[in-house]
Amino acid sequence: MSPRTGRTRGSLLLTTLLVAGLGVEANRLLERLPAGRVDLSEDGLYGLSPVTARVLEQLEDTLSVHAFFTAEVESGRAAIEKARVEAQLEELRALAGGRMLVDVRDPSVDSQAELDARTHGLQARPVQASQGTGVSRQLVHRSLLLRYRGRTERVAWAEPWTLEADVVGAVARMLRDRRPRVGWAGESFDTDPRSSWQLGSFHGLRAQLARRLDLVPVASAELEAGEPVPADLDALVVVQPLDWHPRAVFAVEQAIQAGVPALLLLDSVQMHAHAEGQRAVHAMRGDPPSPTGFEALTRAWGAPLVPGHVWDAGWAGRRGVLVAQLGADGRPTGSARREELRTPAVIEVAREGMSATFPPTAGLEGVAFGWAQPFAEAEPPPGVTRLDPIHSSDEAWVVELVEALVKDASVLEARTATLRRDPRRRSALATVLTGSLPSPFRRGAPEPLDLIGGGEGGGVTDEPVLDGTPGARVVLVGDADFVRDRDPYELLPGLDARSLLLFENLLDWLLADEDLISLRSRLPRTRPLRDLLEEELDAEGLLDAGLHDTVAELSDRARRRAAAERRAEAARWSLMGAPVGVSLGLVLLFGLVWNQRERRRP
Amino acid sequence: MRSVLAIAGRELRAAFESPVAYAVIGIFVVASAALFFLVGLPVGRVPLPSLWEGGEANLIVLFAWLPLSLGVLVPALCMNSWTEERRAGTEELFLTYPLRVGQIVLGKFVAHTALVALLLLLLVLPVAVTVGRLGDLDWSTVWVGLTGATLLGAAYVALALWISALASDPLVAFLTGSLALLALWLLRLVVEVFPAGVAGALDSLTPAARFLGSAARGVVDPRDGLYFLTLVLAGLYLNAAVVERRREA
Repeated sequence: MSPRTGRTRGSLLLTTLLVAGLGVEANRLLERLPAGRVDLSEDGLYGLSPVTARVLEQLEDTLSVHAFFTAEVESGRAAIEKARVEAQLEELRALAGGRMLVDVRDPSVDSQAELDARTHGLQARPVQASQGTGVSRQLVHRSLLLRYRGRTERVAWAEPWTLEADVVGAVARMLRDRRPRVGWAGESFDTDPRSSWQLGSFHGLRAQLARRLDLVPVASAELEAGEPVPADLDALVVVQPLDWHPRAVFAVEQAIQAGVPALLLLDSVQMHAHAEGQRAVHAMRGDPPSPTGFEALTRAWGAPLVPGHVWDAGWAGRRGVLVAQLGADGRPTGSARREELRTPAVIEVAREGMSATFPPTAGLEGVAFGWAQPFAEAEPPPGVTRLDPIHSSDEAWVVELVEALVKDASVLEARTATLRRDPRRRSALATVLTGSLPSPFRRGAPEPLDLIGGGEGGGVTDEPVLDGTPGARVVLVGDADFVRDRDPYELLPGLDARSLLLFENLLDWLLADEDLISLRSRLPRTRPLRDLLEEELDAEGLLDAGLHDTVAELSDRARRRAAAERRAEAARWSLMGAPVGVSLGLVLLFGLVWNQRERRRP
Repeated sequence: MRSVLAIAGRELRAAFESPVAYAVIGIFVVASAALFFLVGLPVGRVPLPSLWEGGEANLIVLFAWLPLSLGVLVPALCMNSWTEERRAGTEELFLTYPLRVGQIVLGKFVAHTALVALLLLLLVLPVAVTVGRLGDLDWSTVWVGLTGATLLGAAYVALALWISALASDPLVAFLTGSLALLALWLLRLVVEVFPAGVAGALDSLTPAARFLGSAARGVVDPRDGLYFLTLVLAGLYLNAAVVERRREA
């Protein structure tokens, strides 16, 4: 290598290093630029929502956001998440236009910050990091403390994907005078004492709600004894009341008449585990519905609760059963196996089943109900507006008795086939009533239940009764299982992200907080592909199972099904081949034309 | 500008005269479609299912593969750009023209970027039309993703041309270019194992993160545009520096 070549190479290397260094520095500077992202996607999930701007505009004073972030994070993933949280905070600060101050401190090196964080219950969380071949754990702070006009709110762990909803929700709460007070009544759900199965209650839901509002217990026994519902409630939630005394129902009804909006989860189907014969089959089964106590009330309001449950073949959901072999002594010989059945008693309400015009359900993907009771179609009384925001599919029937223990899919199919002889129709699974609700107690308030005196309390008193007061808001849902704690084997639908979203949206609608509804409901829209196989099966008329098919008919169905599957597969391949064929065809055509033209060139 | 376009035209003619371009385009289209429809993206923090498996009408898997597939395609298209000039002895002739080195470099860049953009259009649009027939496709994400992919391709072209100018023959140019771009792609997958300070910086430095973090989801972020512009300018500047040194030598 000549000295000149060596100098040239050295100079090139230096230039490369300089340009690379400048590039890295430029990138660092770019990160400091204010984010001017524009989300052009239809779902609009990656930009700040207009609701955020609206809430931040309501700030009349400075909002202080104290971020407790560990600066030196060992985990690369945690560091990237922290960077995203910081970028989003910066976007929020820019949007607030000087009304939001962000102060970032590191409690791991700043003892005052550590004390402040601890004082407000903000703790570090263990985060795993890979170090060479090993794994280390580090306690990391990533929490926020928001202060506005003497009020404080916390975000215990700042996640990049929920930060906007968390911060704006906290700001909205601070803009209010106080945390909403919501009464919680009902939940008289008892597990079968003979069963070892322990069903969950509503702890998960209550824990979620307690983060943002004050839950006030309202005991039905006190209502039965003549106590009213506390007057200072912002809303009332009644969860699965069973056989309530008229006096307790009266107390709830009068609170609604007095302007307390209410969410009633009416679900009279009791579930418990069950074992059967030689095989221990732990599966949820229901007992015949017992009255809730609210039947007369819903009738008077023009939304009668039907004593039965919906059998929805169109949106049949999954349900689990646990199966274990039993030995001669009646004890399980091995571990239980979980099996899944599609049962029309569990309704996977699809997007089409959720009203797009009612804010709490607009944009929701759906929800799963178990053994849901419908509300009959009826003319609402004068002055009452009724809206049914959640309904079953069109292929549904109301059946009298809850499903007896079923562990065989063919039994379920046979039952559906039998029901197909009756007219199918969709049922309202939830209903919203607004306006002047008529009181069924206008003739007098029921006498309180006198347990000590032994009276039955069947008469009426001369207490004043509110009737038809304007502005009442009630949401009735014919199921409570959708927000129940999930059992460990997930035998039934329970609390999940979708059902929590629906519940919180309904509650926020009652609390007149529609901004939070739209912010929380920002979920990506599902865009399902056409089911080519289903289309082929439908074209062949194979989707409806025949109940009394002969062997020859069954054989014919199997042959036609196989042919439909082949056609669906062929359609799939032709759909995949089309774009490739078009692209390659265009390239070849272009090549031919190009080369012809080039040959003609002089 | 006319000189730049003339050089770009010369480059495009050279590309289409060679069967290599057709073969590369064919392989790229077939492989990308197969990965999108049948395989999905089984690597990364969140593996993505194929179109049929996921059952969702979107092109995210197609876009997620682009940083990797363009990392192979672009060096293959650019490998001859400077090495072939040198092998055929046309580089010396070229450099004696009354043209500035910058114009030559820009001409080659424009030609290859146009080729990559055309290719992306040929791949993405027919697939998008098919997916649109199967479900409710969000077309805004298609257009924004396509624009972002073109910017990503332009940045790759600038880097691949620079490597082609440095390399002694096409194979070396292709292998070096592919390895460099694949390393950039791989960096995003393993960025989490780096110490926190480095991880954050590296994540924002990788073209794949810039593309997949915003444009592929339908988000327009001017900072990403500036990032790709910086990458293009750096690649073109280094390319020009290499050629200039050779002219001086």
